[in-house]
Amino acid sequence: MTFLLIGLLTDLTVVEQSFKGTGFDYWLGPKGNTNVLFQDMVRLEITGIRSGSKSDVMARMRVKLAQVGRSDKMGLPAIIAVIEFGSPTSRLQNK
Amino acid sequence: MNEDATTTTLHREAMNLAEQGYVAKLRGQHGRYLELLGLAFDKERAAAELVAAQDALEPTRSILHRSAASLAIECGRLRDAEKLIAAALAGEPPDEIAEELRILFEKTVFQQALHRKGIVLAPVEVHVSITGQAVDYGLTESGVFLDRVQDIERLVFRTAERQQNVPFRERGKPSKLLGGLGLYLTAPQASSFAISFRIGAQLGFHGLDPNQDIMRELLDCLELFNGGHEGGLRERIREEAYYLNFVSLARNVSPDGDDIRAVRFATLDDGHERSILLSRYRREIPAALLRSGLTQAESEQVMTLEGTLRFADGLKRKDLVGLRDSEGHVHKIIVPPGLLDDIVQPLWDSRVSVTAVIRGKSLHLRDISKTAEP
Repeated sequence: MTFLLIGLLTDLTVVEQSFKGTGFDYWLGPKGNTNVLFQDMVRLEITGIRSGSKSDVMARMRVKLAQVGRSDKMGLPAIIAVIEFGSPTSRLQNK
Repeated sequence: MNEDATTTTLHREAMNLAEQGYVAKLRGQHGRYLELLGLAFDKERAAAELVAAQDALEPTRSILHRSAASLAIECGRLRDAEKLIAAALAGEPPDEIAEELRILFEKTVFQQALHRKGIVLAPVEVHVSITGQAVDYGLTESGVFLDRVQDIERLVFRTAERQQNVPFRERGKPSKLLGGLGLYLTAPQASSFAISFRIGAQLGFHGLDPNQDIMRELLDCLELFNGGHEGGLRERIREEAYYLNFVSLARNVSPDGDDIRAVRFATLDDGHERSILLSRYRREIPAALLRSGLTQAESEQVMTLEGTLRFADGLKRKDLVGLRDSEGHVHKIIVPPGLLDDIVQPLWDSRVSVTAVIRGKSLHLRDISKTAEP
């Protein structure tokens, strides 16, 4: 669902992934991206809520923004996606 | 093909293999998972080595090293992971990736420590979550959570000992036959409040498989308990002390009402999602499930006492405890097999409510629970 929303709402698409112990990190770039691997890409942070209210979604977004905020110094942009599966509702926000 | 294209090709092949590995893991094919991750690691390391000399090529350089190191840890190649992490940190990784590399390094140190003790963690995690008024998103009162974790750990040890045909241990530490058996917890997760745990055991572990023989058995018994299937549970846990111990611990883990309304266990069993929702409150658990099958008779009188649980000083019998009521009287209560160490002892010096069966001049413990201080 997140990947579809990214395609609808931005000019970006998932172009690369990298491995981390719990699964994969996803990296976004322009469609047809031919840059060197991971150069000028946007990191995608996805988090899900099984069922919750709008305020739950906002609260989760604040938590994720605080976590990703640690990367401000590195200059790597990120998009945070909170997906609530009950309604369903989604919220995407640039870091 | 130029170097950039080769790096990209190797990396994408590695990620394809890793994805296939994850599918195998979800299907419960752990051997296949490790095999595919090993292949993915070889390619990802090759991709990382191609950019290793280009310190300015960030974040590419550090992301590839971190990704290769993560794969190495997953498939047990800890020394390779260490080298990749060191190489990445020796460059100029962005702050966030550097922090992730340090966390990975801590993970390799932990895994190596387990390796030195000959301990291997079972590949499958069991996810435990609690919900209720005492739980917020990623936050909970410590007592409702920690008490349950301790009782789950007791359930794991008792199940392992039972599966090893060890006679019930009324006192003391777990059997030496269990070797390095232990419960390993992941960091608490948000989403109500949740942790995952894995069983660690020494290689070989006397022929027992921590997943098959301990975790599956424990979940099977919890399922029978949750459904109130006394017969099925007694069929499974034949020794009375083990039975009483199990049902009493399972009741402690169960929801207590408003504070904790549900406790959920979830895991992958042979690739199939398995979930057990304990939603029956402690007070609703049928008394028949909790009583001793050896001693209970319908005609026996039952009484309830409140007071502070004390050591039964000066008493020769090891199965006797003392309950001091509000008037200072000490009631001596006989504890049935299976309950002293795990159920009664954690309540020493606490205010408790005791239900006891009167048999002749003796009181025999049937049920005990903590109550609020007056």
